[in-house]
Amino acid sequence: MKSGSLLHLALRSLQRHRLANGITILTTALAVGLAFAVFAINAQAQAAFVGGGNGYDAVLGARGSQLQLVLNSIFHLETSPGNIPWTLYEAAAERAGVKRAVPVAVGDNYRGFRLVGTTLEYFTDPPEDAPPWKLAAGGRFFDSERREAVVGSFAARQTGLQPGSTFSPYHGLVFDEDHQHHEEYLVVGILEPTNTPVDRVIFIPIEGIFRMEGHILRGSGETFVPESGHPIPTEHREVSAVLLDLANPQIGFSLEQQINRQGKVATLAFPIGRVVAEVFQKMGWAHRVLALVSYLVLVIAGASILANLVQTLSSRKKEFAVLRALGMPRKNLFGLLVLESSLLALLGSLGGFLVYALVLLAASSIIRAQTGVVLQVWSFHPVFLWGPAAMVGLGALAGTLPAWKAYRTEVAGHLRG
Amino acid sequence: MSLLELQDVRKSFDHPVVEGSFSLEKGEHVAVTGPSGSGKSTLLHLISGILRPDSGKIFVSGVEITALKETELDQFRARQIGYVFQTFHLLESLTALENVEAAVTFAGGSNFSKARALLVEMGLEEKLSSFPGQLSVGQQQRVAVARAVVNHPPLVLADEPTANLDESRSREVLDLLRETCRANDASLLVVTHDTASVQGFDRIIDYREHFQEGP
Repeated sequence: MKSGSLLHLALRSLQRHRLANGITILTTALAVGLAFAVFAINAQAQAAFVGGGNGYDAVLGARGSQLQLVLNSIFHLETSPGNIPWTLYEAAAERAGVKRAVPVAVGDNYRGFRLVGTTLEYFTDPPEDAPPWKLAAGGRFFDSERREAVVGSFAARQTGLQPGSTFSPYHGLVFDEDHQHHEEYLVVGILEPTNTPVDRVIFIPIEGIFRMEGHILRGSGETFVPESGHPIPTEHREVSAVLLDLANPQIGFSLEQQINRQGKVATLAFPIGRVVAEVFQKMGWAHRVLALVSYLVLVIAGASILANLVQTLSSRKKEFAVLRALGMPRKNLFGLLVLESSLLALLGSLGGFLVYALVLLAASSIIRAQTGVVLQVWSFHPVFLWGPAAMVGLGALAGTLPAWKAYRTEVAGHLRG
Repeated sequence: MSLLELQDVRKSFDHPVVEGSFSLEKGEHVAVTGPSGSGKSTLLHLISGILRPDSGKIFVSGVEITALKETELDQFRARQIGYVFQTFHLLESLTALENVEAAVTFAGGSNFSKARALLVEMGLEEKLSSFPGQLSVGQQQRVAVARAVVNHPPLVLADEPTANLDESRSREVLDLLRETCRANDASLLVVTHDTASVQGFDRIIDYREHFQEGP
């Protein structure tokens, strides 16, 4: 770099006042990192949840909230809104335009990780646009006739379950060690990480949920307790939800019309992405408040750059006078101060990426532990471009006041002594 | 025409500070002496274009600098005038070498080898990367002189270069300045309150007699 060039002088000046500048850069980095986090986490969380249907288009479940139905059957959160008769599942599966219908039943957990009863087709015949299920080495999918389990990667890591392990589930969706079932399940496979809520789930045959000790079936409206060794009549069976893969959206609209508006027994959540997106839309005001806060914090960072430069101005007047006496034009002196403030903002913005990475790693870890959804730390968001650009612009703007003062420095007076 | 010529120059603040005419020939070494606060520094500021006179004309190397626009004057000063400031005024954020190289850049040059060569010649090879705060007073003096002459200006101005120095150190600085200017065939104008240290200059002018009471 050419000695005496504006960039060289600016960098040397930043180096000389490294403590004050370091604090300013840190402040700016925190501000920019916060802005990154507010915008990027919101976008990623929205994308992860809205696109988290694992290839299914709709969910059929008990009459009630569509959101609760989706959260329970797709994201494995919340309680089940209730059950629907097995016959509704069969009717949905046979309907023209329904490519796949997969029943799921919930009601138990193992150490806080939800047990989901389903059919083998959930794994062997997923929707075309669903991510393929992969098992870790040495594993296989469960045999529907046996007490076998396939465990999501996160649940396996947290519980220590591995192929060959056995466990007894606990009743309910919340872990309570006083309510352990006597049935023992054998782990036969561990799913490879999918970065979806599935990672937090333990899958067993749906028959296992029906027959779990203490479970009562009311598919026919009457109480039925399955007996070991005896088949469960279809009319008594019931499921928590049915995942539907539809041939086209028109089928979904038609089903929605029929089930939600004309029927009184069940609810169809369709399309899954729209149901989840509505939550984010309803919570949009919170995001707007956070965005406003992050804008203000960026302005405060700009103000801290201004304060830093103004504070050093009086001690630098002799330096400005010498530079002018050596032949540096006034406009270059103005440019030097603006460049310094811009560099502070730029370095702070670069630090903002580090702050953002740390924040997102922490947030990602929490969100994954709570929901199984994994945020992509380095996924691109436009804020990564406009955030630093806005910060550098603010920094340059903040530099204009001290630059103007430097521009007007009286040279002769400051050269004496 | 002389290398430097002041024609009926007048500069006042609340009272006249500089008033008169003066000329300096090419290669000539002149000392202007007078007590502190008499206006000697103002005289150098006028000659270098840092201040503009209220009236009169100043010519350097045949160019009427009082007629130049500010940006032209900045460029002219960087190329044509070397300036050794009172207490040297090295840029604290730059190393010794960078202080000299910066003067080359300001003059529009890019050949930094002469900056290094000059400092090496002055015995500062080991101090090229030292910041002013890490240099002794004597080393700072040499860097300041190197910065003033690195662009081979025809005119070198020195403002109280011996202020706060003992006799031997004062002599050392002035000898260095004179030798360097002689080597570059540059004219040297030194203003100082210390009449003893400028013995041997081509001319010694009493400031008050010449610029405040008339020659």
